Amino acid sequence: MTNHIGDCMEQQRTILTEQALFERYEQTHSETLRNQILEKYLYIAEIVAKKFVGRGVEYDDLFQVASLALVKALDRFEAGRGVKFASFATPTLVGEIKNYFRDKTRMVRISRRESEMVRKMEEAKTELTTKYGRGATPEQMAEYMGLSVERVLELMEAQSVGYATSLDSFVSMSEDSQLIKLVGSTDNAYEQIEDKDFLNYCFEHLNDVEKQVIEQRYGQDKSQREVAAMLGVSQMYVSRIERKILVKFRNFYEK
Amino acid sequence: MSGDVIKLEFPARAEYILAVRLVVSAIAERGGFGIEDIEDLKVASAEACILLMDASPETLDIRITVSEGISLELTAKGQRGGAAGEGSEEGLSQYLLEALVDNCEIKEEDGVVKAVSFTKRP
Repeated sequence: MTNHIGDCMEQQRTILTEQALFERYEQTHSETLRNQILEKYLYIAEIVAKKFVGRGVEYDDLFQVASLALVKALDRFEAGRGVKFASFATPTLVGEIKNYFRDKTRMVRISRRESEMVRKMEEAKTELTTKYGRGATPEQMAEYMGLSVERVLELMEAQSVGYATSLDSFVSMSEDSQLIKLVGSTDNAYEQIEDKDFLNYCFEHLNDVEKQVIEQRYGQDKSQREVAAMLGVSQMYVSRIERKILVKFRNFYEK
Repeated sequence: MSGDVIKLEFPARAEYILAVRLVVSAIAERGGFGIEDIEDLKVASAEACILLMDASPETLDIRITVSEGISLELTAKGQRGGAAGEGSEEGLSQYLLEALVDNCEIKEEDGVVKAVSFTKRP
């Protein structure tokens, strides 16, 4: 009996301290406190993530999504409302995971009808592969599914757009073959050289005042007013010079 | 298949949860549910079983009604002996159920979960 009361008191105390922990976090938003709470409740993310395994997303990804949702839930949680944190957080975690399924697993969405057909095609593929002992051809699949070959090819295409390829994925077995390293980009170097050349050419054809205005305005980032004060002219004058330079540049460019 | 009723009785042991999930998914598939909804129903059914099995009953009665949506009523029967569990996973099963299905109801007697019912509409 005494033991039982002791247990109760023990329980009461943990509940109280927990409540206090949340309340203090609500007031202070201290990072240490936040980490402390999250560490304590990370098991929720773990359990919830496990419940959604087997739907085409790796457990690690699910756990990460759930953990992030836990952080979000904590930031919205109000300890004073008399709701347990686990009860408050679980729907948030479930919601975030379901959003993840909806948004991330299929980055390009295909219609429900289409995805149903893709599923049927997958079935047909498995069926035919078992039957013939080798990969089925689109012709065989078309015949099996009662569709045109063109439609089957279309479905195969629809299926592949559903998933984005990660830039971090490996193209071959070698360690250095991430897709991102192989993707080309436009080389701007030539264009830059040409631009520089053109600018130098233009610059040579400017008079000293014009050169100075360009230098101060675009090299030193000064305002028209500052440049005007430096040259002892009005701001209007600087503005006029700028417009004149622009006309000159345009004329050079068109030549 | 509007208004169809399916009744099942399983030994209340964890190894049968997989069978419950499969039965529920097959029935939901016939009921016109999408893949995501079926997955949710499977998780919800398993969680209901986990809740009920906590007190080590003998069997689980499961009644599935298919009309506009799908309704499940799971009832714990008998007592297998042995101590009751200690509220595994701290009530997470209940919270999961509430997040995944509609009209979730959990009936308790003396602090022991005796029946769980819920509905899901497509």
